[in-house]
Amino acid sequence: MLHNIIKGCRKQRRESQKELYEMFYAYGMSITLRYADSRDQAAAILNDAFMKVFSHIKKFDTNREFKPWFRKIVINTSINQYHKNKKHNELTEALSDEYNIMSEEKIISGISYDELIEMVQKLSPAYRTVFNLFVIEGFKHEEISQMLEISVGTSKSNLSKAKRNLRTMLEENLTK
Amino acid sequence: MSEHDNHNDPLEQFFQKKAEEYDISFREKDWLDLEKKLDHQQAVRSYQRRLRWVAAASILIVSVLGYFTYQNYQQIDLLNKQLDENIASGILPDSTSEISPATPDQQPDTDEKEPTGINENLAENFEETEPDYDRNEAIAQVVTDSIQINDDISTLSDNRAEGGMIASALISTTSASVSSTNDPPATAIRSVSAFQESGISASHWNNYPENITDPNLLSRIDLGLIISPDLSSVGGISALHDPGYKIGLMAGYMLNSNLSLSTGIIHSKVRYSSGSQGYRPPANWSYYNQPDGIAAECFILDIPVNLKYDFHQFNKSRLFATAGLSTYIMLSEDYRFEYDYSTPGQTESLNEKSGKAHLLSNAGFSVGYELDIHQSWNLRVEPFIKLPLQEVGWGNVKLYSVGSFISINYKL
Repeated sequence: MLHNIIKGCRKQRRESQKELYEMFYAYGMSITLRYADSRDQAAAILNDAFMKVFSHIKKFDTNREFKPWFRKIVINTSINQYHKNKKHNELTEALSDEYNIMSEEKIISGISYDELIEMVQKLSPAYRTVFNLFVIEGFKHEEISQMLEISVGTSKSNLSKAKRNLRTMLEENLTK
Repeated sequence: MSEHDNHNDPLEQFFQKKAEEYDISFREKDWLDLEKKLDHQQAVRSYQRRLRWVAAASILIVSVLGYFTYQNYQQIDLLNKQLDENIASGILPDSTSEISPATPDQQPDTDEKEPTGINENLAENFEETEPDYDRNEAIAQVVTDSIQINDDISTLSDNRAEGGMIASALISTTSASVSSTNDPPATAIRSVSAFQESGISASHWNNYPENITDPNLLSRIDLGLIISPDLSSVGGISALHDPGYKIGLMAGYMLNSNLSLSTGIIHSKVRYSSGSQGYRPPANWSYYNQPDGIAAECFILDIPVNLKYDFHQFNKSRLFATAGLSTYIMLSEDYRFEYDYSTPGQTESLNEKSGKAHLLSNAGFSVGYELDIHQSWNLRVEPFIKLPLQEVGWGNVKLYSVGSFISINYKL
């Protein structure tokens, strides 16, 4: 089925494009939501990613899996968005440092996906991006430093601060 | 392993696990937003596709016109040869040997009246002669041949130079034949009348300079110095930037009286600006550092190969159209990058001196006016447009250029 949809997308058939969009919307949003400040921004990043997918679909090797290829494009688009908003991001950096470590690791898994996304979105874009790339996508600090054009030390530091802030938020969530 | 590289951290494991539990509902609004973008992209592509078709059709039209003009030229050449052969074999008497040594009996009475036209000349000759039916038959044959050739001339009347030669030859030949036979057959008069009715009068041909009427004296090569402002943009011709320039040397070769082939080398300074959608950096360029805008100043060697077709001829000037393909060689490319949110460390500018050649990357079209200012010199004014056939430069841009060449040309 996916093969036929991709075939239709290569012929720029609108109905095939919509089918692909609907099929991978939730998956794409699950990535962009972690990098964006809001759902609307996440949708905008996802749409940018889909524009790239439709523009380059002829280059996609149908012998390979579509999902990893799509995932790579979505992550790259998210990082591109991070670069575009870099100046704005720096202004909000200080606010995120308000979260200080309050206790040792005490993680309870009763928290929902939406709450988790909300917490990640509260992180500053710099911390959030490093956290996502390292923890969720599995990149190494060397790779992240190249992607974001920051030093390895900054990458490690941002990850540490992101985790500290998330722990704080979890603590706050538990004490409610 | 340091704390930073420890993926066994319970916090990390928690987030990894939770990240997989997404359940996000589809929003139609998001699809409609994307659809708008897709519509816009499709419109741009369809516009570019139309432009390519127009370019291809124009090249085809000029090529077909050129082909038929060349065929005409060949036909006229063949007719000239046949005429020469006829003269040489004695079927048609040589005009110079027949007219000049006129006998006193045949000499028209110049005291009475100066002949002003071919008909008058012929009529006078006819009046002074007695009927000779054998000669009449010979003349009838010559005149029939002449009518045949006149018909050919009528169909090829736009080829002034060669037509003029044939016309002159026919006038001389017909007059000479008739004068030598001393006979006034009505067919001969009809022949000359038919020639005149064909619209190719002798005086018409005499208006053209000698070097045009005699192809042997015509050089087929001309050299020109051209200069033009250059207004360029990417992605369309609507966002033109500050002007650059084009300056160069061109050489042309006349394939026939209407069609010529030209090539040369043009040094161009091209300026353009574009948003992020108008260019595509190379694969090795950091994807994570894409600027939102770009301003470029490039030096390019433009090597065009053009077909020029003269579609309307005035006395000493003509209107022409050209179509051709250009190869761009990128000499130097200077880019300034613009960011919506610029931060230290972002690439602000780039200079490339790749020397990369983009073979037949643009199609060029122009319509112009050419004025002869001297036997060997002419001036041209030639507004042009160059449309992209492929992407060029570091940013892989589709470069559109407009301008107006002014050139001075010398016929070797």
